[in-house]
Amino acid sequence: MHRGTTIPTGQKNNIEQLQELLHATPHFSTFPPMDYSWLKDALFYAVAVAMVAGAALTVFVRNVLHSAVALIGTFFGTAVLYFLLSAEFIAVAQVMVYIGGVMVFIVFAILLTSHLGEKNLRTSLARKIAAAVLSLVFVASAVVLLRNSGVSSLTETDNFASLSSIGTRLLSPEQDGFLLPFEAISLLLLISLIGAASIARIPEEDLPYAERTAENTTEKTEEK
Amino acid sequence: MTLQTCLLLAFLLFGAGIYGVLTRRNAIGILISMELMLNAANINLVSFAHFRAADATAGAVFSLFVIAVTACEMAVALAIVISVYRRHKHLDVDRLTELRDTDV
Repeated sequence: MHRGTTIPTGQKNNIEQLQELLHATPHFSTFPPMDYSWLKDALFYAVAVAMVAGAALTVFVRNVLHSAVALIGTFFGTAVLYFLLSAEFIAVAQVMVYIGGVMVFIVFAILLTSHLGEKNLRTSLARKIAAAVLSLVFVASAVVLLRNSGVSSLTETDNFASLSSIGTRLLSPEQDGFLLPFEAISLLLLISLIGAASIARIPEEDLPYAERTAENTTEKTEEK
Repeated sequence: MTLQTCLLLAFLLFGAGIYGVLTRRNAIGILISMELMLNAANINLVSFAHFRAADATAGAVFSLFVIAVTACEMAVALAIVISVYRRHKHLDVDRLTELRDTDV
């Protein structure tokens, strides 16, 4: 280093010293930056295979409870996929709402209705074949449309929806904000919860059923 | 990982959902398959938001709304399922024919 001959001020001196140091150390300059995209790709394909396997299990397994458990696996795979697509908040919402809320609903409904999901209803082979043909036709036509749509020629942009931008847009009353849909959806949640409670309630005309159960319990207590 | 592979994954999930909706006879099984289809639609929204959208935040907010509406739908649907089970003691959709026109 040629201190004093080239750099007049102390401030500049420090910066240039640092720069020289950076260039001198092989750790920063000579090693090429590692490319981790293959890792992302490998993770994507692993998650994709797991999700398709989970979806196949969900529809092919005969027991409804097993099917619900397979669906939980598929939802976890979807959350990982959302992380890979840099949508962290959606991934967390997926885990909390779908796995923590909806799947608990479903498992409770299965336990309440079908005796641990053991009673299964057989479908005829003709219906299975027709359904398989229909879904294969859908997938095939969608793939053909995808090939002809020009999606492949699009350049990849790494768009990223940050948590703060989602929060700001969700509650901003401006032109591009989502304040009104946000309020509408909270109202919809409230209404649907009230509706669900009133639908699942035992209605007035079914009261003999409730009385029957009440009589059964009183008889049992009398026997004791 | 490209937009095409993400869309292909969503198509496969949606196809599995179609198969499930058409073959299940248990009402809860049909609801589970519908969840699969809604999930596939959501994957489409998020992957387009990531790869393609000029405004990625709007795509994320859209899929959030889909998740919220799905939660509402499942609450009402499972309430109906429990109500049906209480009245009929089964959930076989092939035998739930009260609303069908008997003359046909």
